[in-house]
Amino acid sequence: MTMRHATDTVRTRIAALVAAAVLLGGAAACDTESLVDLKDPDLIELPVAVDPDNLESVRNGAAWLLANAMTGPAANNATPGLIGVSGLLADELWYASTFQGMRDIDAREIFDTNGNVGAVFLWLQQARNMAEQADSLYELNAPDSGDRAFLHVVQGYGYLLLAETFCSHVPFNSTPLAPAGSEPIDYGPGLTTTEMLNESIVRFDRAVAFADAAGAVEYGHAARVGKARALQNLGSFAEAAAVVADVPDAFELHVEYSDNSAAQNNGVWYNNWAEGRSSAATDEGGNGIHFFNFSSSGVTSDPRALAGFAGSGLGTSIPLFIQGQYQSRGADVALATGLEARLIEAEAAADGGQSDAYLAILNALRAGIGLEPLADPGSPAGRILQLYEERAFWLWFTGHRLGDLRRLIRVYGAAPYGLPGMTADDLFPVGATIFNRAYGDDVALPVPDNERNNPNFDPDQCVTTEA
Amino acid sequence: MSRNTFVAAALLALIGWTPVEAQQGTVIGQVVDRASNQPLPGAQVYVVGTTIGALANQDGRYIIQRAPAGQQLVRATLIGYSSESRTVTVTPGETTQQDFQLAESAIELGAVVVSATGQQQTLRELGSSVGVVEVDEVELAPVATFSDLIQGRTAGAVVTQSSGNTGAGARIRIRGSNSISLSNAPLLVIDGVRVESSPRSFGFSLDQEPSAIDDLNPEDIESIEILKGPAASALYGTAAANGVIQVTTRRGRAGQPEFRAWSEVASLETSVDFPDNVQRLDATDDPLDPAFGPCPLHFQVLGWCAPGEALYVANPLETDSATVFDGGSRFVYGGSVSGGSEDATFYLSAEKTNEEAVYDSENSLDRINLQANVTGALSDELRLHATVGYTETDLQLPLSDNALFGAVPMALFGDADPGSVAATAGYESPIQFHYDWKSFQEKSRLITSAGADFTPLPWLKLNGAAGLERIARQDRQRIPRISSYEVFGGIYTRGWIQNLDYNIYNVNTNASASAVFDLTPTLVSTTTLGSQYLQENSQFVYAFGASLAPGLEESLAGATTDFQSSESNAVNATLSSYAQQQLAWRDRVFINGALRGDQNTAFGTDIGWIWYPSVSGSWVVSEEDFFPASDVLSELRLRGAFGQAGLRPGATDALLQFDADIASFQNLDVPALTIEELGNLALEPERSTEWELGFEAGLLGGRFGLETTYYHKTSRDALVQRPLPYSPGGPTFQWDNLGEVRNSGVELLLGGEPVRTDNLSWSFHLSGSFNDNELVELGEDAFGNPIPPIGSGAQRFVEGYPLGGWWAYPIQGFDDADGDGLINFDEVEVGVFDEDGELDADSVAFMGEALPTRELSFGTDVTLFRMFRLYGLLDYKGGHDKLNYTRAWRCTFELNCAAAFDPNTSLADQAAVMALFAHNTYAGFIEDASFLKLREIALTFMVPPSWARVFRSDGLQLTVAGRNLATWTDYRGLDPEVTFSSAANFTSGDFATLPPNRMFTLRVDASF
Repeated sequence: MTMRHATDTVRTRIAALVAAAVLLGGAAACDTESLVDLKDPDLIELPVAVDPDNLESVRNGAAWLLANAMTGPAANNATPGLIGVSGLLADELWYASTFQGMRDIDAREIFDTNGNVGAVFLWLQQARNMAEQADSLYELNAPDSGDRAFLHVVQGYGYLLLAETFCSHVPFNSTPLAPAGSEPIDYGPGLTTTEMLNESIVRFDRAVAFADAAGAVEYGHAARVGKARALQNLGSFAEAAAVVADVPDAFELHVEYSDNSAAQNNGVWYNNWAEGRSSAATDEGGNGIHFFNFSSSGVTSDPRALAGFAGSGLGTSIPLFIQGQYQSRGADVALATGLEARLIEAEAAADGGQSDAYLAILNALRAGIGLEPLADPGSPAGRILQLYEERAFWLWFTGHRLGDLRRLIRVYGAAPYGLPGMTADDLFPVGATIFNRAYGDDVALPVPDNERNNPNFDPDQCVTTEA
Repeated sequence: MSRNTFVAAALLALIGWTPVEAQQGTVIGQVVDRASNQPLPGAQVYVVGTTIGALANQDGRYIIQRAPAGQQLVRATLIGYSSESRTVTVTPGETTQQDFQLAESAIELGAVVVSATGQQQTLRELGSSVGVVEVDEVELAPVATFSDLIQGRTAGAVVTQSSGNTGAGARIRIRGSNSISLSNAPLLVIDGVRVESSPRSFGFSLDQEPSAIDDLNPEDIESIEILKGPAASALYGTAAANGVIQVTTRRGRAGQPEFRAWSEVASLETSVDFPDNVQRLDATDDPLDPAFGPCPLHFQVLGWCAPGEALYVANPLETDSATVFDGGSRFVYGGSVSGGSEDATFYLSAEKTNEEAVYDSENSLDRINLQANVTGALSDELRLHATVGYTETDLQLPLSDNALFGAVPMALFGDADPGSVAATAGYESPIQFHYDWKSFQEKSRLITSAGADFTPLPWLKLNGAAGLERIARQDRQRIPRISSYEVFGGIYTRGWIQNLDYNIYNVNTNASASAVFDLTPTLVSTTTLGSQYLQENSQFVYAFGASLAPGLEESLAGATTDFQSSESNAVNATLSSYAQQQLAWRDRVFINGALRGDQNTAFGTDIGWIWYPSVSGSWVVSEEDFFPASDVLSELRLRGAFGQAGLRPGATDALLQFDADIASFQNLDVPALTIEELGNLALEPERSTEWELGFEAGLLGGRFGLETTYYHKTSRDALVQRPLPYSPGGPTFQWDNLGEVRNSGVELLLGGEPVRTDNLSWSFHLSGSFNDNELVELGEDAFGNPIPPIGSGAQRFVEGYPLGGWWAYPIQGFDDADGDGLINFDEVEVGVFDEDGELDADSVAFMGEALPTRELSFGTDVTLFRMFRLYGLLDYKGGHDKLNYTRAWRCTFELNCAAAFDPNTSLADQAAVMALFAHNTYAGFIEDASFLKLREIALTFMVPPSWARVFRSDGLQLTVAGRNLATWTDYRGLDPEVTFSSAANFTSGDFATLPPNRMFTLRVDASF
């Protein structure tokens, strides 16, 4: 082979390869996206969610998230929602299983890394946000719909329940229904308990307005009860009573559950009945309400707090009592009721010094289920403690108890009331827990540590030992 | 085949398909071992600077057709031998003979590896380190899985067998962990087909789950090449950042059909003694009294209970009448036939495996592996090949680890008092729970490929291949209709069953053209262009039902209530184009440059092609004239490489998407939409950049080989599930490209054959590596604020520290100030407290690495009288810690460890308990987990040929082998290797995990 021949051959080959490369590159450049642009049949994207035809599905999303927030999902070792977690911190439940995070809540020593508390915080915020986003779609597509009343009720309860159970300084922000990255979230600082309650009242007022305009009576009643509950927390008892004056005794708005699918099951029932992790409590930590008697002959209890002995908790020898409030997986949770409206009126009467009216309301309620009438304790503090014990029974396992205990400390234990027996040591469980651990001094749930990713949130402002 | 691929292949075929212009001849010869003169089947012989070559047949003979006329350099290579080159004068139309005598060598520069392009290269041409695992029949005896096979056999690949459950997978990491949120498991490529290698190959949550990589049958493997990082795997592009394990299955060789048969019988036993459960109770019998139950030291010191006198001891797993362990067994039967002619070869094999775990039931594996490989030459220019591998698996898995009803956790967490022992034999709950909860997997897996190598001209080779992987898998769980779970309420009382049916299709195509030509008489250019297309499709359908009908407890047909169903689909495609250019100067200096471009479904709409460059150089300096001839340093190669590879996000991670839920609203069950993922349209693949430098040296005439590599790998745009604040009420995380992770380290491999005589030979390999892993930075959020550390539990991701390291509030000190021999709350100091009496979150401290940072293995092989062969493997892993959750739980929550009741328990141990009990810190339970294991021993008797012929066998071997025979460690748990949830990316705690078993095997190999 001569050098000239070799060079020609090389040139020929290079030319052929360059031609191949050019053509290959050309082929690669044209319409290759279709080869990788595959459709996932499971994908639901933004255009579907904002389609006016799907408004109700977005509304239902808010309903589902609220149901999830109240009781948690029915799943192995799931967090039993606001009702279960707040009841653990208060005296409605004790933890009968093994997980440390749940024991920490029960023992009133909660870290901001607690995943169970984080889950409740997240779910309440998700319900609130979804209700806000759904409402913005209704505003565009069905501005006069009565569903807007429901969505504002959900928003109102989102603020209210976080105010009642979490520390002061809870941040609220939004996740818009917009393409990712188009609207970076501008995080805000925490709201104080008072600010949260006021925000809830704003939502409830709007709910009443939408309900009245659309004839959505039930949502109007629920909003009035919610607003009154917020006013109670602010110490405005007379105003609260006035708000619920027209709410009928028989009114009930439920957070709904169903036995149709596991996703719709009542998580408190599952956690307590099916898994045996959290137990109904009695006399917890000395200060806890005596909800029922337990002896060798069995359990005897008030009809408003039915309980049964079920051996020991999952993986422990801790006594397990099943609660009778939710006896099936599809049992609904009462979010707002005429009963609660009457209790609000009773508190206003007690606050106003109308002891007869106060007792009349309570005894009328008791008579309705065959309970003996109560006697007047004879002092303002006695009436308040009596009322809150009545509330503990009437509103058992509905997510009220922690807020009530904190309100006793925050409102009645402080000026201008300054009533005795209204400190955390008087009201919350103290001493040793059922799993033999010293109770701490928390009275509120902490904002979860994920919020440290919010640059405007100061975790030091969240003090869980303050009501 | 994609349009690109087709166009490329057709075009290149067209330009190359020109009449033969040069006259050609034939080269024939034989390749033999220089020492023994035995033929070396499988040796590759090729004309350097062309694409022309051949494989030696069973007699070591080869025929190279169409060799270019003139003086040609012909080279013979084989793994384990030094390559040899000879200049041959090829006369047109005539046959020239050239024999080769190859000398054994501890370094293997002549080994041929298949690159991502489908073309072959020798190791001497590559600038990167490639781990080559040779599969030896003797070493197969103590090996049960593919993961076992690569354990301790190549530097830089860390394989951790974290459980003794039959069917449980292993954790494989190569050169450390790159990714915080994506899998760090390597890619698996079998015969050029990229296949499913998920380490979590089970649909329901079990802490010990099978790994798809263990479906492979070690018997069918010819060789394993481990591309350790982007410097070597760049041509695999997206998804190759964690390294690539390339497996080549066995091929037939020209010659008489060779029949092989093998059989194994093995016994399995637990490798540890389980600890006693010990308790001393308080006197009260009132269950509502907080003092009721165990009365450990730390309750006593608080005055919470008064200890009774009796100290109760129970140990259900070591009690004959109560234990669930009765020893396991493993039976393997297999056979293969291979052979063929110069024009066509075949390899067929079948194997059946049955393994019964150490449990008395509930854990077993039945597997059938079939493999068929054929090659054929339609002409001198066109060779075809096809492979079909089929695996059928029937697996039953037990509850274990962090599943409360698993036998081991129930035993380790059980009570010891007589009442509990009478009620549950000392298990925490009735052991029937373990038997009632059943988990199964049935899987059929087909991996098939077909391809063609077309050499129209001596300088041009076209390669095309297509592969299909099909997995049909059913994962099933059930409990019977009459179940012990009754005590937990109605949902479990009537039995239930849930199924997940998986259908997975993966399609690969690859087409490439490689042209070789001489730019100058000493400079050879090889140019490769090609295209690949990969499409992955998976679908699973879930169904649940309860209240099982009598007689129909194993089928959903028996379910009568609580029906649930769902479906999930995933699709993903990657389209690639690549170009590779190699320059070989004087056949001893090699420069490789390559560029691969990927387009992927997952990248969202804002991203186009992603490019991955690589460049490497190799210099066989010992072949230079100036290199002093010396037996001390007989071979030396210097090399360096740089490359990039990626990891892709999930197919839909870039998109804002919604979840379909179901709500109860106004007494109706109605569909509900909620926000599932925020998406991120700018999402890109995680990109890892690696450079490495190293050398191989042949010492003492090739008897010893030393290979050393330093690497530095940086993963940028790390794909992170960035935690979001909860206050916006959206998803809990958002995929984002954040931060940077660094891995750097050194790998060392020393091997050799110090003794080689007719009657005694001794060889060894010592391989080790050190890896330094660091999360360099997490990056900033949209507002420029630094991203806070990820994770708040015991394992965290913190800038400046290793990924997933152990973190806890440290025990600052302890002092028995009151001298009572017990540590009280006040006598242990933990972390730093703020003015509110709360632990300062910033005082949490790094406690240690979670994954091994050092590994060292020593394998040795002694052969006596060509009749007896002893093989052993020692395996060391260290530089890491393990959180001993088992001890923590037993001593603190379950209150059944001896130390909790023994007044002589050390103050340090008491402080650890008190620190956890009072301050929620596991600091006292994070322990050094370094260990040395006698991993494998095998003694083989090679039956003399005259004896073997009695059985009409050409070769007969009997092997007795053991696995996991001894462990040396300071770790105080059952075994330092255990990890619950081993398939997870970083989870490395020990939580009631059954340690890897001890296995004794008797194996018979026969060839006919």
